Amino acid sequence: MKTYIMVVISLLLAAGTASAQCSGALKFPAQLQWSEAAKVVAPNRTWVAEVHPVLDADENRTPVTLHRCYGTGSWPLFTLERSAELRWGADSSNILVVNKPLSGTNKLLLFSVPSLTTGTKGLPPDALDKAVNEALTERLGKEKHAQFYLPSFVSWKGDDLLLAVGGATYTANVGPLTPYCYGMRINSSTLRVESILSEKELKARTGHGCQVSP
Amino acid sequence: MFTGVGGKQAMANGALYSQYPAQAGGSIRGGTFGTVAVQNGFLGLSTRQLRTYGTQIFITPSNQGLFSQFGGPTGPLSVSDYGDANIQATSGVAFDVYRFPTVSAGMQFGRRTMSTTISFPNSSGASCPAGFTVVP
Repeated sequence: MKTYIMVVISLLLAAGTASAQCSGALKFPAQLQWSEAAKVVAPNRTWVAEVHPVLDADENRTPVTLHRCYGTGSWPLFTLERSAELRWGADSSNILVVNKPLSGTNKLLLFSVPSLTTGTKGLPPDALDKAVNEALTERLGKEKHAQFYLPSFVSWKGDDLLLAVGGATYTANVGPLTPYCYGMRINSSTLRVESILSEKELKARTGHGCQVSP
Repeated sequence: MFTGVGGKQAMANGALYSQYPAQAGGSIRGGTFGTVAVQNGFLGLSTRQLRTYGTQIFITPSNQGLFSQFGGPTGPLSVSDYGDANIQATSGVAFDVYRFPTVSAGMQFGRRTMSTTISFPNSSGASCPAGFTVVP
């Protein structure tokens, strides 16, 4: 009987801790910085992405991990070297990260929580970035090379993900840069770039522009 | 190679910034006027070492007139962040320069090459990049 009571108390305490861990206001996107601890709770409060800063290392290698709010288990997401924006999908099954490991070059990461937590094989997290980069390279043409690549979030409804992809290009090794800005509408399940909007169309439809310089 | 960065679009504090400088070996806010973003391993220094010594490392481009022509910073530039992927991939030494007064001015400055003097404290443990001449 005594053991039973202790187990019940332990379970209640554990539930209380997990509940506290996933309580509080939901704020998206979460701005993450390599030296600051953070918790970003999913809308359904089942999952939490956590930042655990490593302050004493020679290189910035802060891990960002996924945890269950109730129960055990954690899964590595990515290493935070500088800063990042993290947002949960509305159904709490995906995490979109605009990772900013360098000034002037972002990297997109899209995590599928079911794939990650059940071990089922899905698209790699950087597949979204590759898809956007390929579409951008094709749109810019062979003569233009991207100096700055600064994709940012615009909207995400269902599978319809809209990004503002901005930056600057160069043609000659020495000389001026030219800004670029496109809206890219992407199916977040297949990662197919469904359409590309001009800067004018992006602005007119969404009111959003692009970041073109760090 | 120097690449101009203009305007005030930056949101992040940078890789060398920390809210806990005592534990992290220092803190430098990224992207401020009169600073540069460098390559990983610049001068053979780790990120922690750059955080400690970045404000004591000075990069002085030879063609100051070109910087002032577009309203950019003149005089010695100190280190505040890590530069873009092109900066990282450049085989020689390369910098993003903060900041020109507008995005347009930074774009007009664009990409430039010129001879450059880099100075650093001996105590930092830094070493001269390949191709540079050491001046006693």
